[in-house]
Amino acid sequence: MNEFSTLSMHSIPAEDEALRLEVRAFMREAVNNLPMHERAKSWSGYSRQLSRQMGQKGWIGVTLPKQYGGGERSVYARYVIVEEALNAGAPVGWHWIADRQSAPLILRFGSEEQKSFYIPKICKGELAFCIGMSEPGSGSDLASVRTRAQSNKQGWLLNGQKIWTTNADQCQYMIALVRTSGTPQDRHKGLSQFIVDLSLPGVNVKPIQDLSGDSNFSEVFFDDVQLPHNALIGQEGQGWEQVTAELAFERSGPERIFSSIVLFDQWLSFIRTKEGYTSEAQRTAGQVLARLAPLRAMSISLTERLHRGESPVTEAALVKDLGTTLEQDIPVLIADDLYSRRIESVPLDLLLTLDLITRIAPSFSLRGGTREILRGMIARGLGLR
Amino acid sequence: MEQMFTDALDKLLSDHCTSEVVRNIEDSGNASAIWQMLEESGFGNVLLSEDHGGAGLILPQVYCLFELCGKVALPVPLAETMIARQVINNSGERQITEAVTMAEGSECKAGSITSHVAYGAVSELVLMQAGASMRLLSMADAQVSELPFALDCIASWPLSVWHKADVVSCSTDVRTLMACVASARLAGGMLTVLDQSIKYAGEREQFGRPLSKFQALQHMLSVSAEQVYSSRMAAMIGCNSSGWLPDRASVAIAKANTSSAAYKVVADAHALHGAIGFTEEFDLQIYTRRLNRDRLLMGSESYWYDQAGAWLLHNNQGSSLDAIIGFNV
Repeated sequence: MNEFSTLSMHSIPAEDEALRLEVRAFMREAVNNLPMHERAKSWSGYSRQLSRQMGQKGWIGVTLPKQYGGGERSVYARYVIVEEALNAGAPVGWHWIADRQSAPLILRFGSEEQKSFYIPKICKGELAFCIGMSEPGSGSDLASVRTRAQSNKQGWLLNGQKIWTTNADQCQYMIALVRTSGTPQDRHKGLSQFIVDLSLPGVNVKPIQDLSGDSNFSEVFFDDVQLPHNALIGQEGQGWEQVTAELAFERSGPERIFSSIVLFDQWLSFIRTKEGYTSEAQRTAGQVLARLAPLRAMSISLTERLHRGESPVTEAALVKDLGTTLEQDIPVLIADDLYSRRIESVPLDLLLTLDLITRIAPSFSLRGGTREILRGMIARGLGLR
Repeated sequence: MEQMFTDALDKLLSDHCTSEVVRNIEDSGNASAIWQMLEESGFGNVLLSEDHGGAGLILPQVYCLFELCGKVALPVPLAETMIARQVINNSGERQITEAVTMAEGSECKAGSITSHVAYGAVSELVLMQAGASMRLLSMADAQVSELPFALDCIASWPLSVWHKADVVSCSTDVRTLMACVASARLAGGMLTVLDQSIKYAGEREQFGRPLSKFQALQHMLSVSAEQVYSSRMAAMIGCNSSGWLPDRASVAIAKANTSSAAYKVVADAHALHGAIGFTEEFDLQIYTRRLNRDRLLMGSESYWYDQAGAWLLHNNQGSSLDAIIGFNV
């Protein structure tokens, strides 16, 4: 037996499930004026206004201590909020990273000063963060990063470059993984994390246009950026351990299952009509459902582990690889179905959503750890490496 | 409590259901020794209420017992018997002490009810559904033809026998009941096959290193593990019930997913084992033949995709999330 055999049935506690109706009504209102192919962008869509409203509702940082402006509720409460946002297609991207990763990281590793400065603003939906990981020569091989922070009198002098940084042009801060000692050959040693104020002199953010026409990610250049002493988060040299501690949170959530759900639901509405129904489409719908239901059950099982304070990183790798595979299969299956018909009989807005999801689908299995990295982790969990 | 039952059956089966025993039963068609041992253990009655001599377990509590039957390739219908006895007891308070399987039949030849009976060769009774009615038939009254899978058979009963047999009433059809069981058994069989593959990959050396050190094979086994553990979750959904009867939409998820995983897991296990896995002597085939059988038993993946799809389209009007939330309650 191995760690995967702990995956089992759990349900969301009633007090957290009770949030669902209010969140749903709010999200429905929030997307009311958005066309479906905009909703389909899900957590890649941004709305500062929506983030601020969610902050006012207390739906950002919902698991964090009240002392720092959080809701002090369970991880299940966050699960319900996120699940409803994704399924409605609400543009929650602006605060996404700060809510999921940055605030919990600051809470866990930050100083008292950092916690009381950043977390309350994040919870209000006023601060957005990005994560500075990849560099031109360091993608999946993250431990080879070269960007360097050199200790000096005023703090740290930052030089180097990050790339593929999601949301960098939209947000105020980056949590960057950089080298503070040694060379790329030292791998995981000598890495540290810094909170970088992106408005500092020497920071240059250049959005990169992606194949969908959006600019979700950017290049970020650091040219003699002077960081204060208190920009360091956690311990010097512990950057790698700090980054990997949060991986289970990053990989087990509903965002690894529901990236194509707006498209799937829109297609379901079509095939429920007299004009849209075919027995082939019904079979395809059943195939997706038969994969979706166990994925959600697994994701909830991992949430239960997080709830107990565990860090099921390997199991999260398995769920993410399966989840993103389904997310990528959905547009393929739907395209095959729709283009086996007379295409003029298919609603145009459905085709627009299909086109959008088809274009962005490759990113589903790149962001948050590639398929090949995840399969390597699963193999280790099976005892093969 | 359920863990106690699982541990006890695990011990019993690992002691008594060796691959040698499985082979002997398949060759001889005689399973009386192992059945007697199981009957004495009382596991066939666990779903019966305590008043009726059972343990009063509900369906999710016996999931692991069903799974164990698949893990060890148990060559008798213990899992079917657990459900069938409770169906029969609930319908007419009749106590059964025999091995009872379940099957669907029809009057495809005039004057008789004919059926493909899984475990027909090692069962005494069959809970048979033909059309809307369910009756309890005895294998002793059947005319039997053998099937390639040694434990199964084609059986037919004269209509006169069918009409005289005890009527059993149940709100759930036999196909749903048995597909629920088969899904859990498939998950168990896949767990064993994956374990065998991992073990073999560690032992077998080629090009100077164990197979487990080749990245291509690591990734192949990782994908197999994804299939195994996600379909295991699906099989658990199939057994998710507040009582002892499964829900048909949940079973559709379970059987569709486990059936579709099974053939892929079988293919990868055979690919990894090479020629040795293709021999009669090596145990892999004991499990992979069963996985192939249970994949098709009571409907292949596409049959259940259709069922799941029809349920999603016609019984749900809202989002797919609303449809699946119910499976986790």
